[in-house]
Amino acid sequence: MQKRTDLSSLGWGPRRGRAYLSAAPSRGLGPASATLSHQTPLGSSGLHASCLDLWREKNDQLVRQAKVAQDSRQFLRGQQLAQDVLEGFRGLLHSLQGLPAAVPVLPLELTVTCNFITMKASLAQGFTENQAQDIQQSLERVLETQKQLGPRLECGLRGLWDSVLHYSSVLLELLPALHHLAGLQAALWLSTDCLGDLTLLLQTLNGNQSEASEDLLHLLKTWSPPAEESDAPLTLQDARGLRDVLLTASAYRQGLQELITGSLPKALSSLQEAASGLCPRPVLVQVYTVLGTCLRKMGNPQRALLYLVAALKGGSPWGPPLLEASRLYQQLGNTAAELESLELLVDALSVTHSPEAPQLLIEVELLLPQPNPASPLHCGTQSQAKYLLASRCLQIGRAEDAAEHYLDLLALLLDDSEPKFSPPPSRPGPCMPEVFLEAAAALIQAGRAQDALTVCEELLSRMSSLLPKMPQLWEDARKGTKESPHCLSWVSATYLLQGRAWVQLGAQKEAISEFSRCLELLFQATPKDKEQGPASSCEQGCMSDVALQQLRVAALISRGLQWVASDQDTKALQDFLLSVQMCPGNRDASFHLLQTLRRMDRRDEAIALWWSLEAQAKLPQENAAWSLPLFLETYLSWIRSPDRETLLEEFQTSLLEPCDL
Amino acid sequence: VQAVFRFPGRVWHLELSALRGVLYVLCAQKGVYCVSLDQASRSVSQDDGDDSDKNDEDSEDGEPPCPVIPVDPDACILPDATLCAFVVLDDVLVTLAQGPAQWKVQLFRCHRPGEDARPPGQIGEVELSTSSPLAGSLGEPTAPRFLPVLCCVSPPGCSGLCGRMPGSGGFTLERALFGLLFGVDASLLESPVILCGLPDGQLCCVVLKTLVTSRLAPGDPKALVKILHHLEEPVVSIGALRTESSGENVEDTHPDCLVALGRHGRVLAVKASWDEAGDPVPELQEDRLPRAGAACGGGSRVYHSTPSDLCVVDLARGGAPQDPVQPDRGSGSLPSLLCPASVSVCSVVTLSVLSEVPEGGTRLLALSARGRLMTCSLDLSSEAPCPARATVVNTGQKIKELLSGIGAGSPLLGGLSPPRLRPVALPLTPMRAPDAASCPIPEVGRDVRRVLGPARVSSLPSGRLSVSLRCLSPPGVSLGCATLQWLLAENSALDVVRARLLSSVRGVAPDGTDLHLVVREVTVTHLCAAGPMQAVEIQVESSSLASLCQAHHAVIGRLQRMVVEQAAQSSSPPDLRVQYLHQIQVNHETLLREVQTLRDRLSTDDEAGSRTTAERLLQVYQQLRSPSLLLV
Repeated sequence: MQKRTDLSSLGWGPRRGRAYLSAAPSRGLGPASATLSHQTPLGSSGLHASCLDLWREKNDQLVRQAKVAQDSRQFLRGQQLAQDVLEGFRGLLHSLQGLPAAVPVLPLELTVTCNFITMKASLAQGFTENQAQDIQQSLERVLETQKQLGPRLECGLRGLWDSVLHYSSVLLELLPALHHLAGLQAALWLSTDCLGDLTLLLQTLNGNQSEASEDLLHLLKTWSPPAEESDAPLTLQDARGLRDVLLTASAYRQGLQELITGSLPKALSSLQEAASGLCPRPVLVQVYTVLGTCLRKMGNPQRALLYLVAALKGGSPWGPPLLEASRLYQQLGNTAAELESLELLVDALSVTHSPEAPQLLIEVELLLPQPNPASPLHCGTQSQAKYLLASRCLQIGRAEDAAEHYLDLLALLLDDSEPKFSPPPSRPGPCMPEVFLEAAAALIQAGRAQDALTVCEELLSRMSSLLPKMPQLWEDARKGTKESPHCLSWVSATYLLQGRAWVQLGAQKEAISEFSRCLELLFQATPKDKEQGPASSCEQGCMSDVALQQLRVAALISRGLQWVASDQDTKALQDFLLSVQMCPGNRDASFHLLQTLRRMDRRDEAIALWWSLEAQAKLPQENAAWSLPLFLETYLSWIRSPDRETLLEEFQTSLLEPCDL
Repeated sequence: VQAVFRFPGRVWHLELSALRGVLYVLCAQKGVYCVSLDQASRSVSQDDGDDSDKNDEDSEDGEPPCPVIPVDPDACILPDATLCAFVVLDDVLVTLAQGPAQWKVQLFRCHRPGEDARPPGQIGEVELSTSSPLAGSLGEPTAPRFLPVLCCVSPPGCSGLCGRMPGSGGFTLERALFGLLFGVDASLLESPVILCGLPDGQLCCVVLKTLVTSRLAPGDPKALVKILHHLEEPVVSIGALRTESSGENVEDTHPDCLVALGRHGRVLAVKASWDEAGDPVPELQEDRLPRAGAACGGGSRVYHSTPSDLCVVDLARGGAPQDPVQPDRGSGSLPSLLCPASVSVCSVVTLSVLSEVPEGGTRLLALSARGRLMTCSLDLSSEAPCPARATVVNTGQKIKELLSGIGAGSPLLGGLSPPRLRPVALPLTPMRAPDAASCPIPEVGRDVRRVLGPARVSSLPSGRLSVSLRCLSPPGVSLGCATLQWLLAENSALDVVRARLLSSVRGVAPDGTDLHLVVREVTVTHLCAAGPMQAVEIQVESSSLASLCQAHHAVIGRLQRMVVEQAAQSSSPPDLRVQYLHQIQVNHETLLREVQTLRDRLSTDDEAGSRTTAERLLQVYQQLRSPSLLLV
């Protein structure tokens, strides 16, 4: 190790000593020269030292001012103060950089740069390219003192760091400030996912002792920034503090990444590392939640639960752990707890958060990736949670609850009389027409047919402007082979549900008329494109081909059943036959047809149909590949005979055995 | 003028929330300020009349001194140096911020000033994609060259939030068009939609209700942002018009045509139309108008200013021939060609429709680049062929007269005064589209800066409006200098030219490019049948082709006008080949169109194609310059 005395032999005095400015002509431009000439006449003795003192005092004053801004109770006032401090640092940096770089001033200059970057990044809540340029400029200034500028510039920031740290053995004075700057560079690279550069930088900072190690966490743990001297200029955050933040953030990022790629044991260890480090409470809640996700996926629901409970302890309830808990309970089959978690989630998300004043330093949160919808930390908004709750209730057969939740959701989405509004469930979720239809389905399921009709009418009225002009133009549409008009599939689905509601109300005539309207629309609308979109591609205003086909079958069967109920077997037969032709593999359609044939005593046809059904049953089932919109799934369950299979067996005895005799 | 606010930075945009009695103001690179108007009227006192008022008196012929209220830094409700535009909807503030790589739409819930010390809570955010780099290369945040445009569109009958936005820059679109443009979700939710016109030409929309996101996650741009169109030039204005008479459909009389205007005059109009099958389809039409400055819409017409003129385009009529075979289609369609009519008012930086008369007349409120507020009464007879004939009445009315004319209402904003720019509060309550009046500040600001330097020309083509013939060679003044004085009449640089007897000036065009005007005496032989004659040559030089063409065009236009006027007044018309001058102008217009086409092509061509295009462009450029201008 070289000592400071080595430096004095180079002619550089102690920090506040010599007249370094006289060594180089002033560039004469910028605020620096203005400040100088303003303060004291050039050339007087003691000027430069006092100037350095002045700048240093300015830095310290700004740091103290930042603390005041930080502690300000008034958010806006604090923000203004912080902006002023930032501008102060910018001005000071201009002053310092207006002069040629000199080693005795560089520690201060680098410290001011670090404070400026810290301030800027914390105010902007993230790093930008500008901060990289600030760092680059500082490094170039360091190299300038060593007359080592030029070809190295091509290597970019990494090359610059190599050169600077190479010279740092003779620039021991700069070492603390350089490590601080390196910490900020590490934060920048971490937040932009430049992990290769980050690893190399840490290896160089560690003196390449642990050459073999490419483990980021290990490198961060072994990195030991030199302690700053007690008389050093004030900093907003020192290098060691920054190192701790980096360690937690890296461990968390790494764990999250490993969780997403499925390396669960690795993820677990990284996340536990993050949880054990310096971790502010909000981050700890996140880490615990992700740990819960990880353990659930590893098949340890009980341990996962412990972490989630820890995440929920203390403080106001936070969305992600509640959502994760609901997933966990769903996996455990604990429906009551699952729904309760979702209800709590809805409550937790009803609170609008005012921004808290950001800490004026680099925090762990600053270095974390923003949660995207795929992240386990994404929990959406209140209305999205409400939708989740409502649709889960509908799926698991809690119709009354589902109906209530859907009505709440619609109120939340549509009522903006109070200045509070809520987004619809986001993609890839259902689109608005589907939400309406699900609500209507839930209401029918809950026996509230009249309410379902109201919801349907509301939907139709809101969609009316998107429909083709009525009525004469419809005639043209019927003749032509035009593509399915906008929203037509939603309208027909609405008619279908209305029909069902009338069935429930015992109004057969109205029901048949709604089913007929539905079919009329569906048969004039040929599928939009050959390509098959996802089940809820709402952007086109249409459903997938499979969904449309199922919708047609559902409408045909529904109307057929109404004909049956009014003893019009011939008409019923027509509808059932058509539905079987449309979708030969549909067992419901075939079953209804079979029953009708039997009732009409058309024995031979019934037997032929039974045989084809039998043959189909032996084929591997493949209809699980596509998923239908929830309202349609619900609807199909209504027209399915619960004892279909037993009845089919009955047929065997009643129809076939006499034939064998 | 009731009150003058002094903001700590250049004012880019402002909106009045009449309901809350507050004014929201966006200051360049500072953030959004919220000023209570009640407070302003209370704190007005004579003490405030400081030296700046004296300036006012100097420049505005004894305007009454207006109290100047410095805006407190605490009034800044949203400190953010990157904000470029905003709209207010009740208590929701939608902002457009310039990120390092992308534009960002953010949603805030704000509080009344003084009511709550808490900052506006952010309730949503989404990034818009953009093709061009945004931020400057150096550390300082740089202001964008052109500001983006934000506006809020609501469906009819939208209650609550969107229903309560008087005074904000929003409009309502009829249901069919709304549904077509913004989709089924926006229609079902009856949600307002935020339209963004970006400097790179993108016109995109975000359904407001979908923008509300959870605190931790910004919205997914793919799901939330829809690009409606790409105008390929900075979007300067977005508005809506009613093009069909509301006869058949009484309940929906909302605008049925969305119009976006580009910086260089490209105009996009979108209407809902129905195809043969009766399905609603959007009908898009693009056309080119003269380069646009400010714009506003009223009825079915777009009024827009160019550097040298004020034009009217009627989208309902526009010269579209009625098709006897398809009468249904004819009435609903947009005109195939947009034909702007000149109103002959120049240098208007902002516009607003004051009132409309059923017979086709309109009163416009216009603010000129020199800070003059005017009302223009246009008599656009509905029987007039395209282009409509316009008469100008009342232009140049002083602010004071205007004020007395429309009465004292609650203070609103206008803006004016070189040598120093100060926002001036004016009662503008009767205005139908207050948002349009909020553009003047930035526009004036820009021009004011350019005018400041001596011998600089703010906008060269200063006018076809009030040109009167002058004696070209007063004693002691060279023909060149006299010509230049004539050309720059009404321009602020005139005094300098006159004082120093200049025969050439260097100026800055409104888009920031250099412009050089040189006038020298020459002898010509081919123009006049009587033989060689003395003449002056006006040479226009600029590094920007667009500026060159515009200046060139303006000079020719002016010459032509002078010749025609002279012919009308004098019994012996000058022995000039007027036809020749006219031909020059026609040629130039053709060439100008070709230049625009070539430039458009240049941006889409591959490498080989673009070389050919560039060569042709160069040829046209030379052609444009070749016929030297002559003036006797």
